[in-house]
Amino acid sequence: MTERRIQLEVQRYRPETDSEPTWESYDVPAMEDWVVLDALNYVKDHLDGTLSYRWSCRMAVCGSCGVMVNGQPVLACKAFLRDYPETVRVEPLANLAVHRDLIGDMETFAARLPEVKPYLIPGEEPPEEDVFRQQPSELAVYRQFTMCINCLLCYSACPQVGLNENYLGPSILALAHRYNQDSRDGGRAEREEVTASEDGVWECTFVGECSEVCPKGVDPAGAIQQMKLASSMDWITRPLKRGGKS
Amino acid sequence: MKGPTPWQPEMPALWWLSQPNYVRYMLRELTCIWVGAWVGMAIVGLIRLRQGPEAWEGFLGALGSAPGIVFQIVALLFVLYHTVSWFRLAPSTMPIWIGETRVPSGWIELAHYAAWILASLLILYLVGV
Repeated sequence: MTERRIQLEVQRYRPETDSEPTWESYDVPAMEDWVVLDALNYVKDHLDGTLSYRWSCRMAVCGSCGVMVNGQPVLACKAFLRDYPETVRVEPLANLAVHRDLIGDMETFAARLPEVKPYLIPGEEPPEEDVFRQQPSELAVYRQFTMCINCLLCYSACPQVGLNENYLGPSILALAHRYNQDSRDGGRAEREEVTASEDGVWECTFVGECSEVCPKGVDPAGAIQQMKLASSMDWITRPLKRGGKS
Repeated sequence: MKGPTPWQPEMPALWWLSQPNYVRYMLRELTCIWVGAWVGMAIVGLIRLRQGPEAWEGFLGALGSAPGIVFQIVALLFVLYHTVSWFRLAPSTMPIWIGETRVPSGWIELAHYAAWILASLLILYLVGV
């Protein structure tokens, strides 16, 4: 039985020698159960040890191995070679600056994530000698948004991220929404100073591609539209609140 | 993080041609121009109505001309696409929970269509059809 083989075309970029990225092609076996990550590991182990890329869990939970495969942002560990034609083109995630080969910049994302205060800001103290209680129905409302693995596929899919370097982006905003929706939380007004700003939800024009590519079903597009609604209602009702304080 | 400056990719001007979903998105955004144009036409119609029977007949004649008909057909297609794409997106903007279960998106989408049909029937009744 002849083994299937593919041409793996990989974008290379070595900042010490290259002024811009180039392409290299590798002839790689394509076993029935292999994913793109297996092909990259084959290249690194047998053909070209200088190939640089991120990976870790190889089971789509860590978010390390995001790459573009034939123009689509995917997790390399979740993209099966049997679903692709003979030529498989692998590039670093779109819209991100490239450090080397397939390694995209995650520093900007990591630096901006704290701006939305992605942690519980309790609205009130838990009952004495007890903990916060939460009904399953209250958990259900925000559970989907806890699934984000910060893989940045959504940043690659979002044209607004590519067009506006100040836009916070889908993942950061979805994480803000996760905490806003948590029944134990009371920090929505604080977060809205950032999420309702010009770098926040209002940069989103609901292209929706972020939710299409999300490997964990987080639906950041839905989260952002829900935040637009919530912050609009907050803005309208602000003068009606006691003291009229913002 | 120290080291060489990362290489920044450039977004091409025709970025939206690279994916079918992006093309659909751009068409959806373009629908607003046609919605606005049709509303503009309706406002002109109201003005002509106010100006008297001759002006109104002139307006109706323009609507019935070849360019007028083409405009209305194209505007109708874009407004329909605007409506259908909006109804498809609406469920993710308004999640409705019953206990631990989320009301299926399809129901919310159907409810929008039902409201559209009801509103249309009401308007037809009011104009005497």
